[in-house]
Amino acid sequence: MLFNSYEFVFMLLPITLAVWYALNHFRQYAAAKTALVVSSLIFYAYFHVSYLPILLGSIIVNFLLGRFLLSERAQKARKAAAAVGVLLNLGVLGYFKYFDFFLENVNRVFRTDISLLGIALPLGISFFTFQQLSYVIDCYKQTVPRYSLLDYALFVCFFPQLVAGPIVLHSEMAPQFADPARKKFSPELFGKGLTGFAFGLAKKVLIADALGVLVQNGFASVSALSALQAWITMLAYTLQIYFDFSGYCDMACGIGHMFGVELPINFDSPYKALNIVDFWKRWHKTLTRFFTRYLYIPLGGNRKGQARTYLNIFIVFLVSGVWHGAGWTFILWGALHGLANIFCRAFRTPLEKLPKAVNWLLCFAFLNGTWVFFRADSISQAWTLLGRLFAGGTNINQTLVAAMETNIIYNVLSNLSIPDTTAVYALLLVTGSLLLAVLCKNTQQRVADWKPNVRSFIVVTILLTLSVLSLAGVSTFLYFDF
Amino acid sequence: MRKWIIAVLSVTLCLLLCVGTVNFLVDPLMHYRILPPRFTFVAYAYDYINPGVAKNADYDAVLVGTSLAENADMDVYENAFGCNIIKMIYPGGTTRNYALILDTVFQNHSPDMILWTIDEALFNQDGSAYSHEMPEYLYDEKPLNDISYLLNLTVFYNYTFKDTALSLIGRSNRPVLRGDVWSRTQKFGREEVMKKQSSDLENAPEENKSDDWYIANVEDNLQTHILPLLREHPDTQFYFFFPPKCVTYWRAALHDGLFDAKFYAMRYVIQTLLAYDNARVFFYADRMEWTTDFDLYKDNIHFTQSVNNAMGEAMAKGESELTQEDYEAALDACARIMRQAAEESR
Repeated sequence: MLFNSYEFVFMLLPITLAVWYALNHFRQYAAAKTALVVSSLIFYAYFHVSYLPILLGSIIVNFLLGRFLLSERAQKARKAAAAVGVLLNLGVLGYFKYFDFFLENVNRVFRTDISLLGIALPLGISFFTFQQLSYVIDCYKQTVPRYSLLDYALFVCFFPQLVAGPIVLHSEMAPQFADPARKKFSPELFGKGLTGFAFGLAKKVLIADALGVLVQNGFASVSALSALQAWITMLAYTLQIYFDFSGYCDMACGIGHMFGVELPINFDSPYKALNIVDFWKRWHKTLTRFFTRYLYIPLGGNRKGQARTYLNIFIVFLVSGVWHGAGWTFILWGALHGLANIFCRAFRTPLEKLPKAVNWLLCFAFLNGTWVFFRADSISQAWTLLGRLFAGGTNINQTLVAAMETNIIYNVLSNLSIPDTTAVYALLLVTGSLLLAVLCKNTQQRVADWKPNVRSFIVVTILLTLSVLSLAGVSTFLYFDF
Repeated sequence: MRKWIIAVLSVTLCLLLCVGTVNFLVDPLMHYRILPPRFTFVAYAYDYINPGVAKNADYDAVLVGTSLAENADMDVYENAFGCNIIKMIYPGGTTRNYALILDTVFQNHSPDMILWTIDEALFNQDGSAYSHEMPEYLYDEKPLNDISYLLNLTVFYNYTFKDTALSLIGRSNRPVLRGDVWSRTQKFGREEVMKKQSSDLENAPEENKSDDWYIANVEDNLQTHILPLLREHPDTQFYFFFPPKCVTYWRAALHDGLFDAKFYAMRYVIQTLLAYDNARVFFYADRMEWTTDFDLYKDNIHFTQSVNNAMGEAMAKGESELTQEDYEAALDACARIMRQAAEESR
């Protein structure tokens, strides 16, 4: 199930909220948690019931492993058990996410013809695996209280963060679910949650999806793009991935608030960053936190000299690239970010002397270029798009023009007889989104400043209404000559 | 704070209900009822209006096809066949698209005839999926799914508001169900056709592909989506007709090494269809007076309304109908003359 769907907005969310608060009101706390877990499993299994056994199996195995690591009789075997736990989690992730990629490369290098298994990737496996990895490692360090299976299951599968993060720690979730004060309905928290959800939904449905049309069209015909359309495509993707992912996280945090739970913030206006080091303190913060705590520091962090620090940073970003996807484009993306990080640290002093605008531009340009690799189907496609940036020409392809046919803003511009309407629309959309991302407050800042006044009422109502009315559109396409 | 929450939720719900109600009452995509004739029918959103028309319109026959049937004049077809005919187009559609709409037709009506423009390329492609994302909520019988139609800002602005308002002030387009949607916007002629030739034609010709190059797809399309319709509706007469393609199409097929494979696929389709009593096959792909007249085409395959109408009138009279006895000779002759014409057109 998706947050941006009718089933979620009109059925699962209101019903789950009602059941949660009703059961808590009657002090049926265990029943309330059970209902929340069941609801989360329904959310997860809605499109693919076949994924459910994988999630449930992962929860049970990691829970039992954690219990073993915390038990007295595990003292001699703790290290081995922890190693098994880490390998098991990474092994499951590796199988579902990377095994076919591994086979593809074996075929390429050894010129074999091994059939790919066509393994379907269970939704959110990267997220819930990492969450449970952190639990297993903390159990090994014995910094974890003993949770019941119900509390542990709720920590893993609480639906706002289940399929796309934020990557939460047990230490920040379990105490909140145990806190009696949070089981009472709080109008303030609910109001903030509704606001965060509205902004997140609008970012995803009104902005990211609109940008997605430009991106999809651009990447479908990369080699034929004019320079103008190549720039539009590249910038649109940079903005799409931000509004899409941060919009989803805003919704997750908003829903969390509605349940009286605070989820960690994942995005802090990353495109305001002045360098790559700063960017990674603002982008997907919980992933950065995970890698810092469970990879960078165990590798030695910055405690073993400069060269080792840089190597550790590079390893972390390489692994991050691999985590993001099974493909050389992701690995290259990660490596480039690792190198940029090292560069920024090594030349920190001279870089800080540059004007802020120059630093911002350099950082933003780097992000745009590397996002192209992240999105492209192959490294060569990425290079082709980057090459088209300087190819000259301003025409917009007919596929994109056709796709605009039912777009409301495009139609308004068209009725105003604005020439090159598609290009004007695309540029307005990209520029407007960029200004929002770079100059305006982000959702979490708005939520923190939230007051229940007329202005917020109007804004949230309009955003919710427009977003729900945009969950379905009318898709158009270029006629094929059949 | 509680008042703020209640106000936001209740006003949002009211606004959504208003939009939904207006969309329901106006029903621009005819999901619940047919619009009065003076209202424009939505052009270029066939996926969205076809199911409503299939369910709610009054008709005796249906013309289905790809964009090749798009500009057929239904007045001409109705005069020729003497009955009410509606047009259901899926430009670029796969056989799965047509099976879907014809299922909807047969669930709601018992048409006497299905007229089907057969682009031979239709059978050669993968028919396991739709050609593009389809609004399945308009095709199913699940009323709850109508929410995607009723709470839809694009439908509300573009069709409920804009198109209806335009119709009320007399600025509607001729309904797309019946008319020619190309004549005002598309250009025909040699220059247009030659502009759209692939630059690959300048490269060396490709090796000839085997005759059965397409057969796996052809069989799948026939068995999965076409033949079940013939079997399940024996009282409905199916008219399959092969329209004329410009010689430049066959020239490109020769260049790509697919000429023999395409004719082999056509032969297979025709042979299979003719085995059914309720299937009639008409063949216009060999009409030299059309295929070599570039003024009748805007590209390799899309012809003017006059050609479309002429085919309709010819079909009603039974002209160029193929039988089990003569289809092979007709195809052989067509292949011969098309190959020669294609080579001469270089």
